[in-house]
Order: sequence, then C-alpha cells, then structure tokens
Amino acid sequence: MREKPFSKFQILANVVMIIWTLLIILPFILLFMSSITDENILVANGYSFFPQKFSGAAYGYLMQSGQKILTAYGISILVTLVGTAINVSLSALMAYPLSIRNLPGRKFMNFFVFFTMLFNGGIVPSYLLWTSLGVKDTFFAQLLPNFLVSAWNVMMIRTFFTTSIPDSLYEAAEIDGASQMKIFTSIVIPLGKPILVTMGTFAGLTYWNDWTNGLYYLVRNKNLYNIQNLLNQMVTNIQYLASSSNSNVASAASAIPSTAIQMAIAFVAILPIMLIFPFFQKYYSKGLTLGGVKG
Amino acid sequence: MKKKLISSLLVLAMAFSLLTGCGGSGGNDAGGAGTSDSGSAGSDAGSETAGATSDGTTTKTSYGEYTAENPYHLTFAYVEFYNQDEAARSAVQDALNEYMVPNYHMEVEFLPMGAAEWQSTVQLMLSGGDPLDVMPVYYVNAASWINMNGIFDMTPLMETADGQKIIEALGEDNAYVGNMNGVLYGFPANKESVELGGLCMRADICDELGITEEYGLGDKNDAFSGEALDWKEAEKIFAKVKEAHPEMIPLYMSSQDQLNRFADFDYLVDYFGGLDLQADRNSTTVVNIFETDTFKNAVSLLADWYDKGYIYKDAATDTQGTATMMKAGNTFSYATAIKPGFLAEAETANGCECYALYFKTGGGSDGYITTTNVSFYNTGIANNSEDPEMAFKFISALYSDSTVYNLWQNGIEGVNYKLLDDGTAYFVDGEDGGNFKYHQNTGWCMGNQFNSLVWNDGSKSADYWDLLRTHNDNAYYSPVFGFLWDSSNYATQITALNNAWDTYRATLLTGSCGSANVDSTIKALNDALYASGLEEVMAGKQEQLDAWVSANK
Amino acid sequence: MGSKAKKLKRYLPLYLMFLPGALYLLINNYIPMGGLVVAFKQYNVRSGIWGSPWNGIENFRFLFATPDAWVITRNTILYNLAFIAINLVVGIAFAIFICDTVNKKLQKVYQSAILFPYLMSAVIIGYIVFAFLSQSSGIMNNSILPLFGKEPINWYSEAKYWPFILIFVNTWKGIGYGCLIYISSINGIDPSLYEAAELDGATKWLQIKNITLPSLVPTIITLTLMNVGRIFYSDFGLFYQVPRNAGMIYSTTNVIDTYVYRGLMEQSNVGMSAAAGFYQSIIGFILVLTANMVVRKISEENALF
Repeated sequence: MREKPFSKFQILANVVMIIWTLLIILPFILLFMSSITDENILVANGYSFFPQKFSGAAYGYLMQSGQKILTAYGISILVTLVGTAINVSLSALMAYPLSIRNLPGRKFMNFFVFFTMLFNGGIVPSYLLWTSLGVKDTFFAQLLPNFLVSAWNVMMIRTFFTTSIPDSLYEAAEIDGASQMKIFTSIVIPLGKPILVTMGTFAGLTYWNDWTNGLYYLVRNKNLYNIQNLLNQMVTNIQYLASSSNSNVASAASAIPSTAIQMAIAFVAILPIMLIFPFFQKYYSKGLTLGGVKG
Repeated sequence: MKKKLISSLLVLAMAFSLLTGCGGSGGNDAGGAGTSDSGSAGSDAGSETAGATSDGTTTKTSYGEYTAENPYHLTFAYVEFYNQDEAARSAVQDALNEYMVPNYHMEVEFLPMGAAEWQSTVQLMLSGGDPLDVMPVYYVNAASWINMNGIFDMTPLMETADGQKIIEALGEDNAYVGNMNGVLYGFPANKESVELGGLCMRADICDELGITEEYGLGDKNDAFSGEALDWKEAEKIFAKVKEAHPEMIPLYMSSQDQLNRFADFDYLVDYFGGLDLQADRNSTTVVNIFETDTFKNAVSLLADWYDKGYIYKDAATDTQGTATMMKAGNTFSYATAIKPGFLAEAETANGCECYALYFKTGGGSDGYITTTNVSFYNTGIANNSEDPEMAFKFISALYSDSTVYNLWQNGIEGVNYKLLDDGTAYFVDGEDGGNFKYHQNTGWCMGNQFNSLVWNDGSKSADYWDLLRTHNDNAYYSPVFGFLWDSSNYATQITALNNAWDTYRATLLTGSCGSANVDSTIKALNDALYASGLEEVMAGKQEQLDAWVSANK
Repeated sequence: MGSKAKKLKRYLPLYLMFLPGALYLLINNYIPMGGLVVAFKQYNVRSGIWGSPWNGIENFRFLFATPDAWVITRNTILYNLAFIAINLVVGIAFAIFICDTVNKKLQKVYQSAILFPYLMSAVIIGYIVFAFLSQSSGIMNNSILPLFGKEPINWYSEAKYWPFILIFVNTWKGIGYGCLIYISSINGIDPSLYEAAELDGATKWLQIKNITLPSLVPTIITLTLMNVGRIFYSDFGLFYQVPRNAGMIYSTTNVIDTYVYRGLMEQSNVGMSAAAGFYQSIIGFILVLTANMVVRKISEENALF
C-alpha cells in the first residue's frame, strides 16, 4: 500500500479518479461561467464554457439583497455548527451502547432507531407537534425539527464501532476499572474519529442544504431565514414570475436576469462550503491507531 | 420476540400520538359544533347571524364586541408576488391600522406569503389551527379545502349590509361565482376575465418585414376592436420571419398550457370532460374534449407549425418564460392574453418595442368567459378565524372601501406613491419598478381594483378601469357560467387522469409530436384517460352539471 | 438479586447515554407517526387527525387506479436496485483508489471533489443536464454528436436513454456519501494487517480481497439493508427536475414519488399523501425484515436488529 508509489494499481487508480474529478469539476465551471454570462447570450446560445459576452448583472442583482444575504449566511453558519455538534454528540452517544454486543435490550434499541428511518407521519403531524412545542418563528425552528438526530448516522457509527473497535479493548478497560463514560471518551471517540468526522460532514451538509424547516416553521419571522431559504425564495419567485402565463405577473420579471441569477444563486450557496472544506480535510486523516490508544 | 417488539412499539407510538392528536382542532372553538363529520358542510358556525353591526363606537358580532380600545385582531394572508421592503410594509400596516381601528374596530396583521409556497403554507396553517382570518383561495384548491373543512361558508352573511356591498362591487353573478355545491368559499377579484388574445411580436422585425403596415399595427393600439384574425393568417407572418431571419424563433411556446389561445372550451375546472363551446355555444353536454375535432384541429395546426420550424424546438420542456426569451433577442413572438394596457407591461417585461395583434381563440372574434376565468384567485375566510363576521367585514372593505384597498395595494401617499394631475398614481420620485419599497400590484388577484387608483406606468389614464370593464363586453358566456365542479369524490380518478394528461400534454400543446403523429398521440392520450377512469368522472360531472342547470334555470 | 444490581450498575450508564437521542427520536419521529392514521381517514381540519371519520382504504385506491401502477412500481424498484449495486461497487472502488493515493494533495482533491455534487440542488443539476441535452442549444447536439457524424437526438422525448442518464446522474451526485463512509471504514482497519500481508508478499489484489473487503462487510450490509428499507422511495428531485417533467419519457422516468406528486399537486389531499407514504414504508418495512432475517441466518452479528 505504501512504499511502491508507481505500481500499476496506483496508476489505474489515479487515472480513474482524475477523470472522475474532471467530470465533477467541469459542470461546476459550467455553472460558474453561466452565472457570469450575459443573460441574452445565455438564452439565445445556451450554456457554454466560453461565453461570448460576460456580465456581472446576476451578482449585481444579488448584491441588492447584500445585507439580507449576510444575515442569512450568519444564521446558516450558526445553525450548521450547533446542529452538527449536537447531532454528532447525540449520535455517538446513542451508537456506543448499540455496539455493545451483550447489552440487554440491544436488539430492541437497534430496532427503535432503525424504525424511524422507515416510517414518518408526514408534515402535518410534525407541524402540529413542533408548533405546540413553541419553536415556530424562533431560532429553534431552524435547529430542532427533523435533523438533530439521524437514524442513518447512528446506524453507520454503530457499525463502525462494532467492527473497528475490538471487544478486547473494552474488556481490558473494564478490568482496569474504567467507567463507561471514561471508555467512551478515551477509547471510543478517538478510535471512532474517521466515522465521526464523516457523519459530521453529512450532518453539517444536511443542515447547510436545508430549506424546509424555515419554510414551514418561519411563517411570520422571515428574518431568521437561512441562506437556503433566502436563495430558494428568490429562485422560486423568479421561476414563478418568469414562467407564469399571466401577463400581470410576467411584467414583474422585467429587469431580472432570471437564468444567470439561478446559477449565481447556486454558486453563492455552495461557495462557503467549497472554501472551508479543504481546511476541514485534515480531520479526515486516519483515526488514532490501536497502538496509540493502548499507551 | 419480534412480533412482541413491533406491537409494543406500535402501541407506544399510538399512545403518544393520542396526546397530540387533538392539536388540530385548536383555533376556532367559537364555531360551536367543532366535529362536523359530513366533510363538506363548511358552515357550522353562525348560520343564523345578522353579521357584524356597528353603532359607531362598538361593533357587535355573534362572536364578540369590539371597540377602538379593544379591536379585533385580524390576520390577513395574501400572496406577495414582488419583494417588498420589510420596514416599508410594516409602516403601511401601521398606517392602515390607524384607519381600521377607529372605523372598523379591528387591527389588521399582514401575513404575506411567497407565490410558490403559499398554498402549502395555508394548508398547514389550516391544519394547525393557527390564527388566520382572511386568505387567498385558488379555485383549484377549493374542493379539497372545503372537503377538509378548512373554509368558512360565507353564504349566510351575504344578506348583511357587508354582503350587499360585495354584490354591488362584483355584480350578482360574479359575487356568487365562488360557490361550490352550496358553499360560498370566496370572492373573485374584479378584473377583465375574457379569454381574448393573440400574438405579441417584436416591433423592429414587424417594421422591417412590412408586417406593421399590412396589419396597421403602427398606432400601438391594444384595446380590442371587435375583430380578430384567424390563426391561419399568423402562418403567413411566421413564414416571412422564418425566411428573412432563419436564426429566429418565429413563435415561442413553453410547457405552459396555451390551449385556450387556440380553441374554445369550457374545461369545467380540470379538463376531464368539458364543453366544446366552439362546436356549440349552448351545449350543456359534457364531452371528452380530447376526442373533439376542435382539439384535433388546434393540435394539428400547432404540429404543422412545429414541423415547419415556426415553434421553439425545446418548447415541450421549456420553463424560461416569454420575457426571458424576448429579451434574448432571438424570439419573434409569443401567444398571450391581450387587454388594454398590455403593450406597456409587455414592453417593460420584454425589454423591446412590441406590437399586439388579436387572433380568434377558436370559433368567433368574440372571446368567451367561463366560471374559472372569473373565479381564479379568490378571497375567502379560514375556518380558523375566531370571528368570521369580522373577517367578512374586512373582505367587504376590500371591495367597497377604497382607502383600505389603496393603502394595502399602493402604500402611503407621498411615501410610496404620488398622485398625478389626472388622478392616477405612480411611484414617488426616485423610485421605479426596479427599486420600489412597497407596491403590491396584485389587483388582479384579490379585492376590487376598480375601486382604487389607476397605476400609471406611462400608458394608462384615469379611465383605465372602464376600459378593462368594457373589455369583457364583447364576450359570450359559457352556458354554465357559475357552475363549479366539485371533484372531491373523484380524487382517485383525478390523480390517475392528471398523470395521463401530463404524459401527453406538453408534446401535444406545443405541436412537438409532429403532424405525422397527431392522430396516434391523441389516441394514446384517450386510451390512457379511459383506462384511468375518465368515463366515471365525466358521468359525475354531468350529474352535478344537470343538477346545477335545473336549479339555475 | 446482587448480580442483577451489579448488572444494572454496569449497564445503566449505557442506557443513560442512549436516552437523550432516544428522547429526540420519540418526539421528532414517533409521536408524529401517529399521524399515519390519517391514511385511513377522511381528513377534516376542524376535527383533527383523530376526530376525522374513517374511510377504510379509500385513500390508497389512487395508487393502483392508474394503468401505470405497474410501470411506476417497476421503475422505482429497478432504479433503486441499480443505485444500490452501483453505489456499492463504484463507491468501494473509489474508496480504495482514494485511500491508496500516495500524493496527499491529490487525495484531498479527490475527497473534496466526490463530495461537491452533494451540495447541488436537483434544480441546478437539472439545468446542467439540460445544458448538455437541450434540443436546440445543448452541448451534446451542437458539439459532441457532430464530432462523430451523428444526427442530433431529441433527448427529452426518447425514453430509452433515460435509465442511463439517470443512473449516471445519481452516481455523479450520490457516490460521495457511500464512498466517504467506506473511506472511514478503511481508515479504521488496523494497519498492522496490511504490514503483515506485505511482508508475506501478498499482491495488492490479494490485500483487497483478504483484508479490505472483509472489513467492509458490516458497513456494506448496514448500508444495503437501510437502502432496502427505502426501496419504494426515490429521490424526488432526480426524477422530477432532471427529466424536466417531460411527458414523453415518463415510461422510464415516472416513479411512485413523482406519480404521487403529479397526481396530488393540485388536490392537496392530506389523506392520500399519507396513504402513499404508508404504502411505501410498509413495503420497505416488510422487505427489510425479510432481508434482516436472511442476514441473521448467515451471520448473526451483522444483522441490524
């Protein structure tokens, strides 16, 4: 795996991954180029990597709501950080007992978690419940409903704990008289770092990408809209105005570069993640090895 | 083991949901018999009421008494199509309440909703029993909202003074157009309603190719003269454009439905069984419109145009919209509804000079009016309302009190708009359509715009509302005008029919199927519709229609 | 008694750790689940979920009333099976490739890249696909097909191409999820195992076969079982936005979720939406119970519950 840098296998692996990376990067470039293409060229000639005429009109339009966008970014970042932290902590706490093979009731607990993946009562009962708990039109509307614990994450973390942390380690720790909490913090968490970082990433992306909570639970207080809510509101309004056959509505779409702006909006929503992700990468490096813990 | 496990889990879930299950019935307890199981009977509250009465200092209703010191708090939900400045909106709300509290003993809270999500938001609020009084009702949602008992039936209030004011504003026929199976769920906006339209074309190309002279378009008249051209005539125009500018799209069409530009049908709400007005203007027999010659002729015409390259190639999946395409400069024309004042709006939207030319929708030069042409967006009362009579009073004000309506629509004089010398209104200096702070511009959607200031975007004069009113004059009415089909007992069939129609809709209505495939595609559509229960729906429709006819003739 | 108390003392902290998350699931998931009864009711907002009158299986009828019931069910299942298989094979392959990349910079680039599409909404992906496939201005018809001397294709009316397009788009968008999980599992493997294998002179392929894959089995089983539970559901955006709702290709793009959406979009029928969800869930539930039973027979420790 290590010392032979130019094995055939590695060449194959890199060729495949470079092609795949290009397949991913190129559409992103197309997306960005479209967002800075002159709207009329875009509609007349279609999307192109090499637009004939550039225009900053789409970003200019977004700048009009500059203050709102900054606030919404702030809310998104706050919700994502807090939500991810709680999500990963609760999920890890749940996953650990589920990974203890001889814990009485473990099967039921597993089923209890898994069952929530299959059935959901739909939006109306959830709305009634969270409304009665008073989250409506508050900051908690963005944070609490739906995403605080995800059964998927719990199951994936549990599987990792079960397979990658040998039972002997627990036994040794228990014989040493370590408490469960001590075992959890000093063995399970360090060894589980790879999966915790991975599931944390997905939890974070879920929070970052979400616009449903704001839509349902922030009816009267749109100041708490996160960036997706705001951009989603802009996009749907633009689409509605542009596609409406009602001449009364259509005239409102007048000055808006509707296609380019949707591309610009998509880009604005992704940009922060693209910027911070590389810095985040170092946490993906390997978790501590067994040897490191034993010491 | 597992069985025990599952069943205990289910019991647990059920038990907990019992605790919250009744949450949905919150809100309106004043309405009395809260659990009316009949489903469609909307009015179980205040059916023997005289409505709100006021002696100047106190307003009394069947639900309570309100004064200027103790006003009724009314939540007014409406659709906001254009972004408004939050601060400006709340200033307008304050100004409105300065007028509402002493005069109406109510305090209005604006609840603006986005165009894309308002239906789902209102539905959730109805389910959650949230405070909500006056709300928009789209005719398509009416059946299911009535069916789930979310809408207050306003019939008993029509006898009151407030009700009479609404009738005065709309006319007897239009005031009751939101009546479905005996439930009056909403009032339409006062607007031009006739299906009348044609082509909106680029002026520069028309000038260049002599089209302007040939059809006398130079004076930019967009009011209807009483005469419309046959669509065959349009073909000559497209041919000219195609020849001189092969790079241009002669006619832009999108996946949006434009059938009503090319054929006279009363769809009776949902397309599945309708009246072929083009064949017989007095018929009350429900037919499968997709089997009529009227439909086939319209599709054949479009398919022929598509084959000849007149219609946009991506039409069947396009959603970009006319304004986007026209601005791009490679589109010559599009089919649309036309009315007085249309050209000014179109030119702003399209960013180019335009001409409008009327074409016959189908049969004759006169347009036609069906129930749903009038009853499109409506204003109704949520069953959540704590005092539907006060809500009704507010709706009545939207139709009869121009102060209320002007404030809500245009904002505060001198702050959001200024009065021009001829009595029309426009943005204050320094603001325009691109940077205004408050301007709803939704007169076509709610309330009585005919009782408000004319918004002068440079082309309109103080008599504009009269022009719109007379725009309807030439039209003939569907023989079943006023009838609204209640599809709630056919929900199963309608879902399947919607899917079947969706499969072929865009390809037929944009002509993209091509002339060679018109017959086979129509046949495939009809086969799919019949397999999805079209006959049952048509029979149900005919039955409701017959009952309506005998009750109204 | 004494041993019981001892046991309790030993396990009590574990139950307490489980508790906060469990409480959240109880509130957020289990309590609203009671709302599923609406699937069997004629919903009436004034009476609430429990007070509304029962109407048996009336709400379910629309799922089978269409002549397309078979097509949408077939599409849903086949696409999901394809997605499960491809995400599994490609995801593991990519995970192994990425973990084996010696150049750490490149490794980071790959790792970020596979995740980025996850950030794009279906609407935008729909636009990008349209940029390639548009009839009049698409890159395929204007630039790529002419290179090979081929005639332009009307992509949005030819159903036969869409299984490939949708599977490709789904892989493009979703491969990052499984891939990152597999990477974390591979990173969790004790490196001494590889060191020992290399000392024995085992080839790369043998190392993969004997060490990497077996350690991934539990992850694979968990992921697959969870996906089986969702087999009657599909990614709505992928099947609605990407084909641009083009009618002529419904035969290969219509799935249960899009059928329900198109049918109910304008009707806003709470009971019927609930019925659709209940139907999708119960089938998934039965399948996953069966699959889990099979897994349990083969290797007890890998079963989900």
